[in-house]
Amino acid sequence: MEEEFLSHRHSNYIFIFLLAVCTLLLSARLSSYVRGLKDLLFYVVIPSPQSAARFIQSGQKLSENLTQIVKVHQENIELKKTLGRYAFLENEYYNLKRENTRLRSIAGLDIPGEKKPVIAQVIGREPSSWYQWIVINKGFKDGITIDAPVISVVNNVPVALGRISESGVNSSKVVLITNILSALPAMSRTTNEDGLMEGQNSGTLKLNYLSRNLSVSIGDEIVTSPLSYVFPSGVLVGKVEDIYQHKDEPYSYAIVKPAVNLNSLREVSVYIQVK
Amino acid sequence: MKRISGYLILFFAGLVIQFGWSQYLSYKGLSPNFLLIILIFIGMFRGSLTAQLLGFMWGLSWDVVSVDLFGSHALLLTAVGFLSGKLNRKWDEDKVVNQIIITFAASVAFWFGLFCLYFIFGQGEYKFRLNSIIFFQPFYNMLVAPAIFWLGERLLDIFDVRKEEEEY
Repeated sequence: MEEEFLSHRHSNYIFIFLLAVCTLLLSARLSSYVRGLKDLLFYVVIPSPQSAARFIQSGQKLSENLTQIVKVHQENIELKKTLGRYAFLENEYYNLKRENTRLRSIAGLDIPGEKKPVIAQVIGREPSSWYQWIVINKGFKDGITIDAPVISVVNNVPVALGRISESGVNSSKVVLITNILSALPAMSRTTNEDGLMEGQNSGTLKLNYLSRNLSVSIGDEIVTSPLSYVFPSGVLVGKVEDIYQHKDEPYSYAIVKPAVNLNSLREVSVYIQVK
Repeated sequence: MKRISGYLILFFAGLVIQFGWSQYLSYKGLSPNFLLIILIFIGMFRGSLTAQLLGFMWGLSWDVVSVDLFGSHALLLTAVGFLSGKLNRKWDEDKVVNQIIITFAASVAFWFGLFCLYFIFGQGEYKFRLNSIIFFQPFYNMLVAPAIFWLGERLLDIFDVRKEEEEY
């Protein structure tokens, strides 16, 4: 009992002492001694919260990395499946190509030559003729010839961009499909109805010479026609935005929005003939 | 020696929780005052001496890292430690209601004490500024307290520290 009482007193004395120290610090907080003490304590105390914060941050990074690994793993599984499907399609493609070549030779038709893509960067574009042409950094040294088709890729889908009009040693000029000089045989993907896609020096194209019975409708995808001399058949050109029909004219026409984003052209593919 | 090492670990752990990790429990700048709650727990379970010494050290560290009146947190946390230690063996610290009441009262007293210290010692740019955190933090502390008490009791069990063995 006596021991307990003494411990209580002991505790009370320490409390009074600590209170006195605190009051002293409060009263003399601006003196150099107190500032020195504060600086000293700062170097003792501050590393622990900082280390804790770093620990938490590294933990967060670890969890982010783990999430990324899981995502990449899932993506890898998906891509492997896709690759397997493409391998099957590639095999099918070569079989059909061989069959096509054999049948064309039996029928006495010309056999189309092999084409390969050459990737080029867009290096020039004039603001005053934005929808007319671009300059790319590959020329005849790279095998690029006049009238070679130029294709861009949008969302992993090849889309028609233009054709080579001039070819220098290390650069070429591409006439865009939106150029008023450009005319490209195209057709509706759903109805196979042919028309002539004409550039208008603007952000839209005009699909002319459509029949009056309106087999093309708004939203239809327009692709290059087998009649095209420049482009391979079936390359996406754009989507029908509007259809116009005048009672005095024998044909109707459609306004098509190009699939390619002409404001963000960076890399393009030029398809050249393999010798 | 073992006991001193334990208190040193507790001291640094408190700093880490309060200044390093409490931000992850903050909502619009409002975060619980972990040091205050842990101090009440230690006071109620271990007595005045440990609680007031830890309160002084934590308060001094808080003063060092903050731009408030130097010595204010040290004084207030020392007082909280001492007074909560006085409740040792007098209140049933295992009761959640008691934990909530004492935490709320201590939180309000803490802010009121800070206001008084600023009123007495504050000069020039040292002025006590009222804000919403002052009003809401006691409630936040009150909600967090049972969890900290529960965790503290489990830790005491793990390290085989009995309530009865300690000083006053």
